[in-house]
Formats: sequence, structure tokens, C-alpha cells
Amino acid sequence: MVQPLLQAEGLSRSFGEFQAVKPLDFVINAGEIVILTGPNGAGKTTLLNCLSGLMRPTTGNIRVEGYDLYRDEVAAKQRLAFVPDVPRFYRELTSWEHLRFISLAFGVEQGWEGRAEGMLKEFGMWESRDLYPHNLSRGMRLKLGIFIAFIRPFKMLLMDEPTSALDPDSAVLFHEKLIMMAKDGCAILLTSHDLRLAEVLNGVIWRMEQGQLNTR
Amino acid sequence: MNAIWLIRSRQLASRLRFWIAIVGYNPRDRSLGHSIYLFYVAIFFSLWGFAVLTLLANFGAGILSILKGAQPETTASMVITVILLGDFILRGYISAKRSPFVFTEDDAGLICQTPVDRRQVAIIWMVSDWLVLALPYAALVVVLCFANIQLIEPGNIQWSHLPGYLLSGLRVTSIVLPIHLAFTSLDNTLGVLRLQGDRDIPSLSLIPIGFAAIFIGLALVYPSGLKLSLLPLQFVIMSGIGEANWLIGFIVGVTFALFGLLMLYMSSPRLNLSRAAHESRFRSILQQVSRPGNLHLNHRMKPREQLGSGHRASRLPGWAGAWSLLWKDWVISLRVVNPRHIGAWLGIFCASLGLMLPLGEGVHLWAFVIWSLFVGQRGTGQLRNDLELWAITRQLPFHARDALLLEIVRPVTGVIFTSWLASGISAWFGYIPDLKVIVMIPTVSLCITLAVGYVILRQAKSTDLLVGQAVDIDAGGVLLGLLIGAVPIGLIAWITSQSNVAWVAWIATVLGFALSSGIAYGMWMISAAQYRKIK
Repeated sequence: MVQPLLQAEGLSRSFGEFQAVKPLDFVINAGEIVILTGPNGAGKTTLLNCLSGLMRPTTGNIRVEGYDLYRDEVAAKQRLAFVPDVPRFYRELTSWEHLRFISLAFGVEQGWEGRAEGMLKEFGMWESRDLYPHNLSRGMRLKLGIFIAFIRPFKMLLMDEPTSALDPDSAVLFHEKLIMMAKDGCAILLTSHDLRLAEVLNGVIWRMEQGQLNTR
Repeated sequence: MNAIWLIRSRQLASRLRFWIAIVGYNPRDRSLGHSIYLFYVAIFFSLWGFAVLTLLANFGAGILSILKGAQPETTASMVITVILLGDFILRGYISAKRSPFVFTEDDAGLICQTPVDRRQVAIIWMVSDWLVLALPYAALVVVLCFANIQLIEPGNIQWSHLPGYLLSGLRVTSIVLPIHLAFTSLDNTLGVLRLQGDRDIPSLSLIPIGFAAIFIGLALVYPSGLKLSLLPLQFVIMSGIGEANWLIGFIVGVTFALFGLLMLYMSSPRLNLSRAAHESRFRSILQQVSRPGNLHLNHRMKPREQLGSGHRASRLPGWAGAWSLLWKDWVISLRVVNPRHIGAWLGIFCASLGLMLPLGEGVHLWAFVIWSLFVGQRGTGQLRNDLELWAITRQLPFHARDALLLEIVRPVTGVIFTSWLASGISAWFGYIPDLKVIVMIPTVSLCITLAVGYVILRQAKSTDLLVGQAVDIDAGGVLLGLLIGAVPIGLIAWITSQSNVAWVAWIATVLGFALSSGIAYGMWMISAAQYRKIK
């Protein structure tokens, strides 16, 4: 039986009395691209933080290709990649060293250098590979956050407003990459206020409002 | 009034007003009651300062007395000489690399872009900075001088001793401060020579390196030659301590200070202030940030200045999987020499020395407390760093127990070796360290680190970690660390107090080691579980 790449059951997250994400269930299968939209404060970022394991949900379970994110955390994390809206980096590691560290951490010892070089060149960051992240512009930092996700093997990609600071050329290139990944069998869930993305990426739109998810 | 001095004096007055405001004095309130309050504050802090210096002198006397084979006054003058020279060389090296003068954005516009006399700027900026730099030196030499008096005239300090203490304090500062001023002027001269025109002179940094090499070489190859070369300086300092004619020492010290000032004055007509302002812009922001006490922000910003813009990728061989955390820690630790970290390592070393040397049970107890504090702080440093980058570290496919262990293994190894180094040094002084202490250091370090780590992890919230705010060590963490570390040591102390037979001490050590290993393992498991549970 083919497992869905991401499955949430009864997932909710509260901050004290306030329920930021109301109990929800959904499934995302291989090859799907989902664009999560909704007004500010709807709970999109909280939901993504929960799905990526950065924030423990108050109730419910999350499964990545059948592996529970908290009970089989290593197996689940090996299949998951998340790009936050404001990526943070080690101050003392350069862009290249960040990519090396993540490759090593995920056990990618062969071929990562070629892939890293290719990505950096494609997105115009090859010259900045030896810079520390605090010397990169906001858009470049976002690109580095994306590369950190792309350099490792994953099946489920989560991204929080990934195109918010990208220049138009990089955005087009990035969209092409996402479409290719989906064709290769990955699933993608990203938040955006840009509704045209669904058309560009050939994805579906899910709407979130006041913590409730509408997947229709 | 001179325009440059006017600006600088306003800046100094503004800094002073900040400290005056802290003690609750309002300079605008001219009432009699407020003036009496100022008088009270001045008296209170003078007495407090004196009490603190005397207290520190007790500790200093202990240190001076354990250095065998030398008179306390000779040791004190040697310590002051070494610190003065070390600081002179280090500051000289820094001045040869970056501007010794720090200019704010306002200074850059008001002074650096205008045709003011560069010599005046150099002298006024150096002297006003020196006033602050000299304070810790004044305190140090006074402590050593008091310690020397306490060794010569043992017994409790009484009120009748106060004038003698004050006079000796004044005497030593009147000698050491002019020498320090001379050294600071010469260091600044080196910085001024580098800041001539637009050209950089990287070879200038070889001068302090050369000095350091000569002194270290002499110390290793020809120690009596080093003593001989330091004799003039040591003689002047001895005159401050009261072992030589004060007037001669004072005249030599002041002449040396005037020579230093003259060198700075003569070298600075072509000082490029724009370059100095450009180089020191970030440091001035750091100073402004830390002045109101925002040290946390300062510690976060400071490494950026040290790091610069970039670095060639590290060639350190990496290891796949969870071991990559160790690779990352090594690369990070090799990039920034953080003064705060150096202070912590020095603290561990000194506290370990306090544990090893025969200074009495009271000192041993305090040394253990201080050592535990530093171990808790250093041991969990990388864990807190990684928690601050939650979005990266939480996504890594490792078991929490592996990640936790690898995050503390490097700092704890550092703690163990630093403490063992201290035991080696104490053996060099002729005091064979207690084997029980040496055996217990690794497991007790682990116990303390994991206990402090557990409290940090228990208080951590993902909402804070996502914005880069990890929990700092609090009183709960410190207390738990101390308790957990003290249990096996207490067991050893209790067993050995029951009998003086040698094999009992051995059994106690083995039991203590086994207990501390068990506690460390338990704390590792509990902390790892807490790591996974962070909400």
C-alpha cells in the first residue's frame, strides 16, 4: 500500500486559551503541490511549524510517509524538509559550510559538492559562497535557507512564504524546480498570499482562516 | 576651551552621568539634602571598594604565599610586570591591526571630516580612554600591595591600619599608572603609524609579535637574561610596593609616561581620522549598546566584528550523521576567539587551581562552587547555541540523546583538560594534586553540565527558540548542577572521614566514580527525554 507523504490526524495547537490551529485532518500524496493561503494570523505558520516538528502540536499525530514524527522521529525527519519564512543561520559558518554541515548531517557524503555548486551558480550565489550569512541580503538568506532544504534528500517539502523576497528570475527558476520535484514524486506544501502560484505550479489551494483549514 | 576637548569632555560627562544616575543622584537637584546624599554615596562606595579590595587581598595573599622560593614583594612585582607587559604586547598587536581610537557617527562628522589638529585628537582620545582602562590596573596593583602587607604583617585588619593601607595603595598606583599610561601611549603610537594616509602597513604587527617572541624565547632558553631585561621595570614597580626609593621610581615612571605621550604627539600630525572612524564604527555601536548594560546584545553583535565578511571553507575533515555536530562545533570554535569564552576557560583553570592547591577547606568549597558555575556555563554553551537555531537543529535526523551528547562533548572535554592542566601546574608548584579530584573531574563535569542542560531544556519553549531565544542559565540550573556535582564528592568525603587507611580512600574514590557515572547516565537520559518533549 502506498503511504501518503504527509498525514495529519486531529492536529491542533493552542497557546494557552487561544487555539491557533483547530483540530484538522488531511493527507498529502506524492506529486501533489498544495498552496496554503489565508489572512495574516490565520495559523498557517503555526501549522507548518507543527508539521515540521519545530513546534509540538497540542493534540493529534503527524506521519511522514507512515512514520510518526515523534515516535519514529529519525525516519520521519529523513523524509522531511522545511524552509521557514525567516531562516536563521550559524553566525560563524559560511554559506558553503552550512551546505556541507547539512549534507554531512543527513549522511550525504558523495556528490553534494556538485549539487551545491550547481544550485549556487543557478541562483547567482556562487560568488557569495564564502560569505557569512549576516553579510547576505534578505533575499540571499532566503535562498540559502532553500538550498539547505534542497541539498538533502527529502520526500515532503514544507515552505513558509518562500518567494516573498526572491527576485523575479530566481522565483521563476524556483518554481521550475518545485514542479520538477513534484514530478519526481515529492509532495510540497507551501504558504503564500499569491493565488496565481496554484496556476504556475499546477497545484491546489487550501485556505486557512482563524485556525480552520478548508481543503476544498 | 579647545573644541576637541569640549566634545570629548561632554562625552565623558555623559558617561559619568549614567553611573551617577544609577546610584540615584540627580545633578540638577541642588538642594542640601541631595548634596549630603552625594557625600554619603561617595563615602559608602569608598568604604565598599576598600572592603572589597581588602577581601580580594586575602585571596591574593594566599596565592602569593604558595609561590615557593620567592619573597611576596618580589612575586607581587613580578606579577604586575608580567601583566603590564602582556597587556602592552597584546594591545600593541591589536592597535597594529585596527584603529586604537573609537569614533562614533557624530565624531566622524564633527571631528574626523574637519581640519582639526590630529595631534590633539590622538592625545585627548588616548588619555580619555586610558582613564577607563587604568581602573582595573589600579585595583589589581592595590590588591597585590594589600596582599603583600597582609603577608608581612599577619593578623586582622583594624581601623588603625587604614591610613597605612591607603598610603601604600596611593604609593603603588602613583608608580604603576604612569607606566601603564606610557605603555598605552606607545600602543596607540603603533596604531597611529598604521593610520598614516591611506596605506595599510601589515608588517607593523610584527613589532609586538617580535617583543612577545623575545620574551618567551628568553623565558625558555635564558631565564636569567629575561630577569635582567625586566629589572629596570621591576625596580620601578618595587619602588611602588615599598621595596625601593619611591621618588626615584615616581620620577622614572612619569618620565616614561611623558616619553610615551611625546611619541604619540610626534607621530600623529598625519593621522588619517577618516580611516580610524571607518574602522571603529562598529565598535562604537557596540560600546553604545553595552553602556546601558545591554551585555546580551553586545555579546551577540561582537562576534560579527571579529568574523568580518567571510572565510574560506574549512578543510577540517567532516564526519557523517550525528558526528557532523562535532565538526560544526570545531569549525565554529576555531572562527571566533570570544573574550567571554576565554574568561570562562580562565575561570575554570583558576577555580581548578583553587581546588588543587592546599588553600584550606573553605577555599576548596568556594573553588568548587565557582568551578561548577563555569562548568555549567561552558558545558552547555553549544547546546544553547544550537537551541537558538531551532529551525536548523530540530530538523536534523538524530536521536535526541545522540544530539545532546555531541553538543556537550567538546566543551566538557575542554573542561576536563583545563582542570587537569591546572593539576599539572599545581604539581609544578610542588603540590601533588589529590588523585581523587583528578579521577572525579570527568564524571562530575558531565553531571553538572547535564544537570544544567536539563534545566535549560525544561524551560525551553519552541515559540522562543524559533525567534532565537534560548534560556539562559538561572539559579535553578546552578543549584541543581551544584547539588548533582556535590553528591559523589560528598560521598567520598564522608567515607574518607571514617578512616585514614589508604585503601578506604581508594574504595571511596571508586564508589564516588561509579556513583557520578550513574548520575551522569541518568541525567543524560532524563535530559534527552526533555529535549524531545520541548513544546
